[in-house]
Amino acid sequence: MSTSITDIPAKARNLTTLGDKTTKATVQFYGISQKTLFNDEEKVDLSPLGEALIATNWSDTQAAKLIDAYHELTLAGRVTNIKLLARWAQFHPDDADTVRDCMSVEPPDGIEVLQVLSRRGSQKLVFLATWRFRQQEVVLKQILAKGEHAERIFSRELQPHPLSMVHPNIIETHFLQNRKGEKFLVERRLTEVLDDNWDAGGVHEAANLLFDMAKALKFLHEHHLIHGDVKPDNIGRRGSNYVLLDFGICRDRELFTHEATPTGSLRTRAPELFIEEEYVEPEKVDVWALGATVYKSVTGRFPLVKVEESIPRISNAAERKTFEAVLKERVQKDWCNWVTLGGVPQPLKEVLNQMLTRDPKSRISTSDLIRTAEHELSAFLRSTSPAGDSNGRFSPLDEIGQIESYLTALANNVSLIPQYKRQSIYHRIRELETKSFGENEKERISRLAAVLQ
Amino acid sequence: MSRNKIQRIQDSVHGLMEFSGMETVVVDVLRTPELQRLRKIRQLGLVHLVFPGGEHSRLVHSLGASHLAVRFGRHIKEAAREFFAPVLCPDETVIRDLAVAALCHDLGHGPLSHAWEREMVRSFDRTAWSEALGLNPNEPALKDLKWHELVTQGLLAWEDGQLHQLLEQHEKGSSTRIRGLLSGQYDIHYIPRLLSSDVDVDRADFLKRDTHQTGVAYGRYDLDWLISTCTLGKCRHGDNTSWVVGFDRRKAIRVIEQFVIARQALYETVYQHKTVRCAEGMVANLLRRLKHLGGNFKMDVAGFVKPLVKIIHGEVLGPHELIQLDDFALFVLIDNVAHMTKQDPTAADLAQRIISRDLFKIVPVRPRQLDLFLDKPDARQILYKAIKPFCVGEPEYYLVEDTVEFNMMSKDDSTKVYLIDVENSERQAIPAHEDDALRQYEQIKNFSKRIYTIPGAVEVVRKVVEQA
Repeated sequence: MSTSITDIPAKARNLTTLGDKTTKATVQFYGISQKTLFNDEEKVDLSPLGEALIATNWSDTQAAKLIDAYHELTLAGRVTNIKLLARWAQFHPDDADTVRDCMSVEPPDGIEVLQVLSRRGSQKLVFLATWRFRQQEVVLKQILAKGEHAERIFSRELQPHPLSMVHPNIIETHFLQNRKGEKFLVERRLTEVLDDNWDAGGVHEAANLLFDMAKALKFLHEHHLIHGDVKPDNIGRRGSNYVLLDFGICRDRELFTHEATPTGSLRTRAPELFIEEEYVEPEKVDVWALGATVYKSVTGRFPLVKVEESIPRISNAAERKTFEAVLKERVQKDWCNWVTLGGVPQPLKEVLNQMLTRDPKSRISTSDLIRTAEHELSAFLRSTSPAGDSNGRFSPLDEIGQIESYLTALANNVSLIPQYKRQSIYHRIRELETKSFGENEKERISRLAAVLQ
Repeated sequence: MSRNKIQRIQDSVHGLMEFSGMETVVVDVLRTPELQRLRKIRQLGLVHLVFPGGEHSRLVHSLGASHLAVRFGRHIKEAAREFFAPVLCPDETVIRDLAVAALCHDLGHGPLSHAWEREMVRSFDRTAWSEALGLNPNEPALKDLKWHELVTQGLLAWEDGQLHQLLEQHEKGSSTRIRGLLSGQYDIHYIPRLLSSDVDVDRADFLKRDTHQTGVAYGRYDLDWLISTCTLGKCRHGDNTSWVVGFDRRKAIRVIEQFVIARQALYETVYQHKTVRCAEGMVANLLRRLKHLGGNFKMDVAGFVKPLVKIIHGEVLGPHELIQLDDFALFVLIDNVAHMTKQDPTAADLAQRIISRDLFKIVPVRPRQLDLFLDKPDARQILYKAIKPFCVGEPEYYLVEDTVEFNMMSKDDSTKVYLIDVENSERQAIPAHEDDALRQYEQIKNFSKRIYTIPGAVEVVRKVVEQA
């Protein structure tokens, strides 16, 4: 079947400005797909996609690859809304593979993919999405593994699921299936996820991080679960609350063995996991990891690791094994020089001292940790309900108006707003954004978000 | 350091003061040398020469103000829930900030504050002081500050100071936020009015405390009622409206009236008592004399008095020296000078009179007559000539001129007090001095002149003024 540029409808010819490869792919698409799948009169209008690709400077090669992918998926029966495709293309400039991920996934009913957030190794594909039913932005996780392996991942991730609905410091997780029966995890979206560079900026935030996470861990431990991978990357913030994430290696305490630990982070790994002893109290592994995380947030390093040391990735088994040996040696021979509280601010010293005890039997439990923190850190702990939740007194529109007035009174000088509060307001704006508003309100919300960022 | 969730302090005025949760940081701040200096500065300066009970320190007043900041703050936090989404309501961090700011509001006062400000820092080199304090002299917020307010800002910003370090250790940026709150800049714009207005936590504490300590009966008002009527309303500025802290118009008029009258009574009977003002004037004269003598007057004084001597000699001080300035250092200096008759009889005589409370006396002339006389260009020279025979030293140091001023209600936008019409859905806030029930107090402004001299010369001065 011969095809030519005249097969491209006039409106979609903007794609040809991207280059020869894109032109060829477009000609191919209109020459075959159109005649195969649609009536000639109802030609698919690719012009919005063309505009998006041009606006975000796509290269000819990637644009052609994207159109080929769209073509291929269309032939396979996957129908994608062009405006949605254009939005994905804008979110992921010059990255045809990632846009293809957006196209390929068939989310559960009521969920619309907005963009890819990350590919977590080979196990999960993570999307930002909207959930119409909840009028919320959510994180949609597609498990890439198949068969038994996938089932194992699900069962681990979902262990805290029925509980999370009632705990403000554990990520709210839902289990959904699409029409094909493929399984997805849906988590409430958080505006911030911590990382190793996160600095608590003083005792105030560090104390609240410690307290919120201690409450989450106590909740898990009471249900005989061990998180097993507490570290900055697995902690998020919702408003002014800290929330525990990623239950990928969460296990029942009875199943928590040496074999379970290698996937956990080395930088927050408890000392008993380096030296082969029996786990008498596996809950204490989480306590150590939380202590190490808080320690990092106030001193700039993890207790057993140098500031400048980089941790080998899990994919690099040889280097990782060597580094494990180094850490083991530090635990066994040089403990006192590594786990020092000299740089820890005074109010946190007592609590961290009890959390970072080498012997797990002497290490503080989460219940005692909460009591001690309430006692030692009362000057720093927030007691308000999760910031951002409306008390139902005000409509979303009222709230937008109030936030506008608040920022206007500050002459948009956001430096006067404490960091945690700015975060809470930003988070609330993002929540409000998912409500059914008109364009005018959406613009107002975007302006507010821009000011706060 | 182990601590309780509630920190309790017994107070002679407010009874049990409880600081809970985040508010307990007040107790940590209290321990810093910057705050502890206030323990050695009397709240009422030389009032104790007339009212012996008036010996209480600025520290206890600051603590009382902090306690009231918590009480007002908690009340406003509850009131705000009715008008704002949770994310915009004041939370415990705001109450903590208010408590710390109230605790620090008098941080920069010098020894015997009023005598000090009358002479030493009446006109000061703002740029030099700002730089010595490590502040940017071009910072707009510093432009109109009084000396003690500038020092407060400097001590909060002092990176080597324990106060700054403690606040920053608690939360990075909190020292800057407290500085902002004290100069009227805060993210919740209606909050600073609780710290600075006609009815604020500072005045609410000092009226009660000074009344209690001096034993006078005039300064009483119903504090509990005042707090319970505190609420939020909307104030119109042209086409815009903004939220302000104010008081329920239906319930608060009488307590506001009580409050402003109490303040007027204390000014008339205590703060501007003739003997108190005379003593302050004599200390100011002594400081002026020492300033005039400069390096010619050799003082061999203890180390902790040296910063005081430096400032008298016109030098600016950094924060580490400023925290040594207190009433005790000043009295040690006065005591030293009292024994240095040979070096300068004038300074020594003034110092001896202050130490032994051998004060000047007021000249009994009508204020209007005195005002007219002092307007003459040669008035002072005439008076100096008249009193010279009675003076041990230079006559210009044996005359104290005193101007007393008092405004009952402020008209300044940032400090006036508002009444809120809570029955109206608009919750209109109107300035209290515009309300029919309180309008009469807007007019009350005291302004008068007084003059004091050594007892032997009183009659001579009276005659000179009356005959002129």
